[in-house]
Amino acid sequence: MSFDLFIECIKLWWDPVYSSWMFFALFLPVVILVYSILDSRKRPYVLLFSSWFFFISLSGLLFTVHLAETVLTWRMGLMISKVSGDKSLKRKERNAKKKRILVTGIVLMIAVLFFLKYLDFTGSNIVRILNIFRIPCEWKMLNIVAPVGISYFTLEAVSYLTEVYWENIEAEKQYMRVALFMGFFPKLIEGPISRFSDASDTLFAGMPVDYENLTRGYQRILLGLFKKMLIADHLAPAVDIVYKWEEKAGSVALYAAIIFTIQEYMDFAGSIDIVIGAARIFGVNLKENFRQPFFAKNASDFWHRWHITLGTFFRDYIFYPVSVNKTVMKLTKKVKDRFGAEAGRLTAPSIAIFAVWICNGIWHGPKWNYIFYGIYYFVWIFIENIFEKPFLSLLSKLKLTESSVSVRVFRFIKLFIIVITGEMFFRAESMSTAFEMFKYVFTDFDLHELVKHLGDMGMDFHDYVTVIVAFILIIILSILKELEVPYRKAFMSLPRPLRWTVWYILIMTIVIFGAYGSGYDAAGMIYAKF
Amino acid sequence: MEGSLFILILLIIFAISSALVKPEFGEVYNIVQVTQKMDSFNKEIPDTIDVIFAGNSEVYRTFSPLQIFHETGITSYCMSESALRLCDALELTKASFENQKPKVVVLEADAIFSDSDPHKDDYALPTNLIEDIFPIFHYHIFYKAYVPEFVFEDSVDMRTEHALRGFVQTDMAVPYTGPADYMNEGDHVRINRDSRKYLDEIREFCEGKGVPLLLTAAPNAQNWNYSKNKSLKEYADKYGLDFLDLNMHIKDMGIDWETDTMDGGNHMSFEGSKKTTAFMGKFLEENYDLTDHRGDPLYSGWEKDNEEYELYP
Repeated sequence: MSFDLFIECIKLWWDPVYSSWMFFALFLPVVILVYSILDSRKRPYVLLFSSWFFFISLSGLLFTVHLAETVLTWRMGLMISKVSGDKSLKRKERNAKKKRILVTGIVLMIAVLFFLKYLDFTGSNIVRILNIFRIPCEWKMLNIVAPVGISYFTLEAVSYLTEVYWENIEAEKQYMRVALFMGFFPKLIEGPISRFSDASDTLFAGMPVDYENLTRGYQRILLGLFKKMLIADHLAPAVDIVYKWEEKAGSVALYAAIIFTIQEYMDFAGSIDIVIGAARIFGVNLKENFRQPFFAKNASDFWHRWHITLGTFFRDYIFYPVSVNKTVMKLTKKVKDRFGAEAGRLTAPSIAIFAVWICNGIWHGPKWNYIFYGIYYFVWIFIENIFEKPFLSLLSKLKLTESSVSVRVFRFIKLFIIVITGEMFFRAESMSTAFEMFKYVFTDFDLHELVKHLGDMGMDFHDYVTVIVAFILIIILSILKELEVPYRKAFMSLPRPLRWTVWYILIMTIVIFGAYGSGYDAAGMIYAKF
Repeated sequence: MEGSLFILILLIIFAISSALVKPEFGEVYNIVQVTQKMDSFNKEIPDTIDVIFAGNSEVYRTFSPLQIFHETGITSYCMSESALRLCDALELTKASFENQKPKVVVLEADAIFSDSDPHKDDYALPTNLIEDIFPIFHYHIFYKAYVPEFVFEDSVDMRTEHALRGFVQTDMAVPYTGPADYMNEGDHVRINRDSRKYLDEIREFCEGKGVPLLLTAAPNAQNWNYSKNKSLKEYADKYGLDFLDLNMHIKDMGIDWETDTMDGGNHMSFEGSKKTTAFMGKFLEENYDLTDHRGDPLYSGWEKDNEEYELYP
């Protein structure tokens, strides 16, 4: 049997998405069973081999790239570590040598990512620019399909090498550990992006599957399935339809952006719940990736609550290094001398934030919309940084505080507009479509067009009811979390029959109202493609 | 121990809910489509429908019961839905005999050469396995068949469904640009085992009712060819069934692939449906003993619907 045929056979029976029945009702139980019957030293190997099975079923190419990158990361880490410990070298010499290895490792990994994900985009745009200058040339598209998950484990590899370089962690001697850190199956497709120091405590411990972890893990998975299957997957066909709506109406464009924002959030947050729940079963604590983002006070705070691990990665490996870069420091001093202390204060962070947001945009994929999306958030955060002080002094003059209801409402509306507009550009087929949609919101709103066609937009009456009710429940839960109400403690103090009844109702709600099976197309995971 | 008890109770809940939602009439692929179609069909005055058109979207894009009535006085109904499977066609055919006494059943062939089993989806084999054990996972959308009255009243589609007797009128027309001899295209195709099983059941059901089963194939430049024609003809000959392949009568009907298809050759446009319906109406009139109901007060609703929708002046 050829390797390709083997993969095809696996794929016939196994759909490697976290919301598939096969994942949590068969794959996960089998892994748990095998994991549990072996001793703690062998358990990490069970996780590694299960992860490799997951990789292979996703893509043979992905598995090959993963193997190569894990070997490279492991070896480079050891090389950096060896140089760090080489006392025969002078400090400067040692640092320079370490840096060379680090840069080589990062460049190699980024090069693989670039080749698989950005080559066509870059090539075709260079050719377009050359053509503008009347230099005749053309780009033959390679149409390489970048394997899912590659953007996530590439960042983890960069993080690992940088941490070893900074001597925050010891280079791992066992290849298996590096491979498991970069390929642990629950976080493979959509993150969260982990640090080696965060994961190593629990990932390699081979902790037994106890009742507490098992139940809490599956409870978290259920919450994720609720968000994904009741809200995101119902909205998925509607989003596809409204973003291609032929009648030009601002109401439809705005509706498209709103439902896409909800779909994206519920899909991503739901998937992360499943990921964290699955990892929890094995006693592995993964970092949270969301913290009620729509309760943020501004755009910057929003990104401290949305895709937290990506934001943290950019903060630690882009923002801080750029902020303290010698050239940037010199520039800051010059600006301060010429334009005053306030301008100087803003210079270094602004340059660093710009670098972060360009990287954030590019990371999402080879599309101008994403790059625009990154710049869009840079502009908003830059504006907010400038106006934060005057805004606070205005509040004190008006005898208001940041916690005043009117201020909170104002901030929520502002954030809502910023996020929805951003998502309009993010999801649109092209930049020109995005600008058209944006224009129609102001020039041709026509609410009637939306109301008239709600039934033709990929959801029926029951779908709307399901999505609205489920969404309200999630909002209530989010408010309780934001207010730090100990609802879980209260729930756990209920008599067992009552608690179980709630779980059975939740399970049956997902089974009955979830978007799956005949009549629905299987919806993938939005953030898997980034 | 606690965990085992929790799972045991959960399995019992799955089993009970499965028993509750599994349809009484038989296994179907899309319970919502089937139930809604049955409900809509049952609004017809008993014993007034003479011909049943069964099949998938090819049926409701090709044959218009209002036009057949307008031209021949024969009453018919499209018991068809989008991507309808043969298992569903079987149940719809059976259901159509509960309040009516159809004299001819016309089965369009596209569904015969598609997936036919209620529990098989190539993209979801594991889900199919769970569905077999606990049908709640298959019929979980059962509630969607029940649409609140106010939604029904507001829905143009639902009101039109009944007035046009299942036919779906469209303004779309996208020309077919492929080769004119599309019948020569394609690999050898046989009726698969699942389809054969349901086709046999439909045939046996019609035989039991003493009603002729007419196999037909709508004009389809994308999905039809001689191989399918041959397979179906063999089946029809073997069991003495009537067979009318409209693809063999493209010129007779005057089909113009520029204007008569709504999606580049797969389905008929409204203009195309007028031609195919006229041809089918004439065929039914000439080959079966069917009554012309025009002028009969019991059938005045048909004329009223035609006047209201102004499709066939």
